[in-house]
Amino acid sequence: MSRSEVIPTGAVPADGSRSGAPIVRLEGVSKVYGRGETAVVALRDVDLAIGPGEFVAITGPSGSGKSTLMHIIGCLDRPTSGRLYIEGQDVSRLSEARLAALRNRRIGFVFQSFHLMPRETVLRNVEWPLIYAGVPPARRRQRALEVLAQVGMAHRVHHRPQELSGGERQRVAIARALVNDPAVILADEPTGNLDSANGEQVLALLEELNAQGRTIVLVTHDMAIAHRARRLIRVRDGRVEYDGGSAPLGRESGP
Amino acid sequence: MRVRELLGVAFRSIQAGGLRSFLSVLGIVIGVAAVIALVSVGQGATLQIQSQLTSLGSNLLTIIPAARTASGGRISQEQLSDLTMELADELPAAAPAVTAATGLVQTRATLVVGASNLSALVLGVGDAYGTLLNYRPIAGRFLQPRDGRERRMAVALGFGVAQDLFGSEAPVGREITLVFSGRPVAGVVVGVMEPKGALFFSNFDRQVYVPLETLVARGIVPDRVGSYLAQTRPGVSVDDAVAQVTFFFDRRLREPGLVEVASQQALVNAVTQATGTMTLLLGAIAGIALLVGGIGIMNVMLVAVAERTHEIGVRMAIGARRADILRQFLAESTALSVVGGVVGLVLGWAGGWALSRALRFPFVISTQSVLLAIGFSMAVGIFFGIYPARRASRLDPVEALRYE
Repeated sequence: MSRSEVIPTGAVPADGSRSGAPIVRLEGVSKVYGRGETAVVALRDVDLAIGPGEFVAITGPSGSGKSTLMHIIGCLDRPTSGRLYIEGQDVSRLSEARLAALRNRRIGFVFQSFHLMPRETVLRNVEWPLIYAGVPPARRRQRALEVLAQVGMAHRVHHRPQELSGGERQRVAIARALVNDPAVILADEPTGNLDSANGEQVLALLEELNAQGRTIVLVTHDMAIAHRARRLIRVRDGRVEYDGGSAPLGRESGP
Repeated sequence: MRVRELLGVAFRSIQAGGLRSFLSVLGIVIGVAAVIALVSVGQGATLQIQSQLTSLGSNLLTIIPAARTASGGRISQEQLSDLTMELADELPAAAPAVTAATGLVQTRATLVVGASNLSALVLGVGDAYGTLLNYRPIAGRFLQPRDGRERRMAVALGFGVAQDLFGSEAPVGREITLVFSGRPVAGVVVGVMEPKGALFFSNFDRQVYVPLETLVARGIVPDRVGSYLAQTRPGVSVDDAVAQVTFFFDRRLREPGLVEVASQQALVNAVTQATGTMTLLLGAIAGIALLVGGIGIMNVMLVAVAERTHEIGVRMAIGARRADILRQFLAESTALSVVGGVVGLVLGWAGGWALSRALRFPFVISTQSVLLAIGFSMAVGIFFGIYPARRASRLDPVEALRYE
């Protein structure tokens, strides 16, 4: 947690360029499900780098491979071939336990359906990554309250998720993603289950976090949302079809 | 992940499970309750029989004519007539391991006091009988050596007989007529014995005790003793005493194997062993109930894993290792069965208490059976929790997250 002081807030290149050592780097990553005749290729030879402080949207139609790409970046899945580097470390051959520790400390997940634990309080939900990291109770409580305050949920810490609105739940989920001070936040359709007002709040929160220097990867099929990011990666048929600036609507099908 | 967090999650899900959690542990509850109650009753019964046996007097040897001789033939009348009451007087001197001995003859008589009469078993015994059996008078005295020497018909009444004959009157010093096969003999009540109850086939309270010498001298019974009782010296091994007594009788009767010498200890051991086997058997049956209970736990845990597949995926995404998931579900199944075990312990305790009250046994709950029940239910929880927990921990995070 002492990392939170080390994070260079505000030191983001204005253009969101890939300057500096990349947080996430994929080299020739392919993912094949199954074998032989029935094999399905989800990703084909993807090269990609995401630098610190970037706000990237990954988009593409369903079945394009964007979910697989997110799972691989999130270390939930392993590439069939190619390499994945997180903060310069080759994680392709890490053990399951090391991968779990990596997800725990360097990656923060935000899901479409929030995925909070229904029987636990808001505070407890946010504490879980710290529990898995072995942080002692007093410190993890303090840290959880800190991030809950950051997302504007300090007033609801002892409620259960089902007592909160969708927008509030997603803000708690973002707090949970932030609590271990990850290198990157992976948000998978974070506004998909929210009305537009709440969705807007969540997007604004993500933008605010990015402005503070947090690297954010947003996975969405909604182009309007994708354009809130500064960089757009469009995936189709397992390949990166477009990777570049997030131009206004209608002009995104770039080079 | 620390124990506190593990137990926290476990108890929250058990609580959330509600009725389902309760039903799934019912098998454990019943199994543990059965173990505790049955073992308690078994141990109470053992204790009851043991205390009755030791109340007969410790270190007691019983010497009875063998049904057959060692060489296989029947015991002749002549050989039986060698079993005189005098042998009892010689025994302590000849066998140093024996402190006292008495011969014993049984006959029946009708007891008449004024207008009331009743038929009772009359035991002709030596004065040592009371000491040997730890049997004390509550009024008057027991037989004394003088009674026999002077051929007096001194009568010590069993508690029940005294009550029936005399009611609320004081029996000591009263005259009593004993009618042996139509022959009346005048006697005097010298004492009333304490209530002792029944053991095996003799009810002490329904008997009366008179000097054996008087019975023989007056020709009421022949000088042929039915059995002997002997008390071993404290600190002497029972086996040594049995050997000495056997040697004495074999030499005096000039043929080995005419009598059988049984120690009270051997009887206690036999009874203890029998009830112990019974307790073990009851425990084993209850153990099967526990095993069935374990299957209930496994069942509900498999359902829990299936239902929480998605949660498992989320936990893996936020950094739970497979070991964390394994421990979480093991903690839950163990907590579930231990809760069942504790409930079963309370119910079994109550059940054992009620049963021992109903059967008039002393109530015993041994620490061992409590530890065994709790330990066993914990083991059942771990054992039957391993498979579901492993299944949970081996889920693929991507698959688990996709699962709705």
